[in-house]
Amino acid sequence: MNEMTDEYIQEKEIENDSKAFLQVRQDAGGNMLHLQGFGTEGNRDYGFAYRYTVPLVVADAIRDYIGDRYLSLASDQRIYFRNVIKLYRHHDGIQIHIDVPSVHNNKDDIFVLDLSSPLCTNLITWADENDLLVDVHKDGKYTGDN
Amino acid sequence: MVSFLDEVQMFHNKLKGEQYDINDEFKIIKPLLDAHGDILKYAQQTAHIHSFWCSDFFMTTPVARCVVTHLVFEKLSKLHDKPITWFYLLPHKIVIDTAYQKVIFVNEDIKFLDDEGYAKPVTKAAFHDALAQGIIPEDEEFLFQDDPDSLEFLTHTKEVIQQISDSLGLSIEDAVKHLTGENFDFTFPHESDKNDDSL
Repeated sequence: MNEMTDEYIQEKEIENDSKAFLQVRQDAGGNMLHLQGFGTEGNRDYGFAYRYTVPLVVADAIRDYIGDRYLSLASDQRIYFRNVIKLYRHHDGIQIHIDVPSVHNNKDDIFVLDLSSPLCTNLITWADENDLLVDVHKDGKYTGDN
Repeated sequence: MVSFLDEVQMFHNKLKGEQYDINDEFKIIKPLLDAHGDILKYAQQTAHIHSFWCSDFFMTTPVARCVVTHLVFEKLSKLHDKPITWFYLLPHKIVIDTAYQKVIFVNEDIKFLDDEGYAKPVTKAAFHDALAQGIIPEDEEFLFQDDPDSLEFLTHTKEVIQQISDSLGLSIEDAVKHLTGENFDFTFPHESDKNDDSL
């Protein structure tokens, strides 16, 4: 996967170091969403990290989310949520699901968002390399109620 | 400084009868026109055998007029340092085909108002842009009335933006960005994302 040590794997509570995952920072400021990915070396030795802009209601919902927090893959701050970010590959594009509750959820109890800017390409590429894109080819993208 | 109406009129007087070559703009759209020409040939050759090439999917115009007009007027706006909306307001003809590509500003009266005496939306847009560009005095007021449909549209849009601003604690500017998804890397999907042209 990558060259991280056993000590690192244990410290970061990574149960299966051969399986990649994404985690999201609880508060990246304003309408920013900060993702870290553990997996093959991308733009980080542990995998991947990048900041994206999102609708403010999404950033707020993550800020208010009450869930288990994990250590940053880059520091000793316990400020990341795991198992709330998933990427789905539809036949007409890729969407991100953010599983945090909010009155502004646009699909059931989650947010479903399009990856709308060229900056998202780096996330898609890294996620694809690390088998983090869930293939749902037969389905089209969710188009929401907006 | 001169009033909006006088500024536009003076500019129109300057452009009346002028023709501008738009060969560069034609070169941009020519490949699309050529491709559509091929489609039409296939349709002509096979219409008595099957209807595939004759469907609405193929028979739609290959290049939207608004796109062509925008390309042309964007160039002229930079050339004359005038708001792009002024060119939409002035009486004009755009001819763009294989043999001839020009925009001509014709010698007709500018129609600032519609048949019922309301301001045409382009008039208000041209006024707003003239203010923004500092061409007319800051304190000049728009003299005309919006037509009822435009008024309803503006009122509804303002209400929606205000609601977003109030509920999310955003400035009006940020509320507009939130509504339109401007500058967001991840955005809410929309009903209009459905591809109705798929085969």
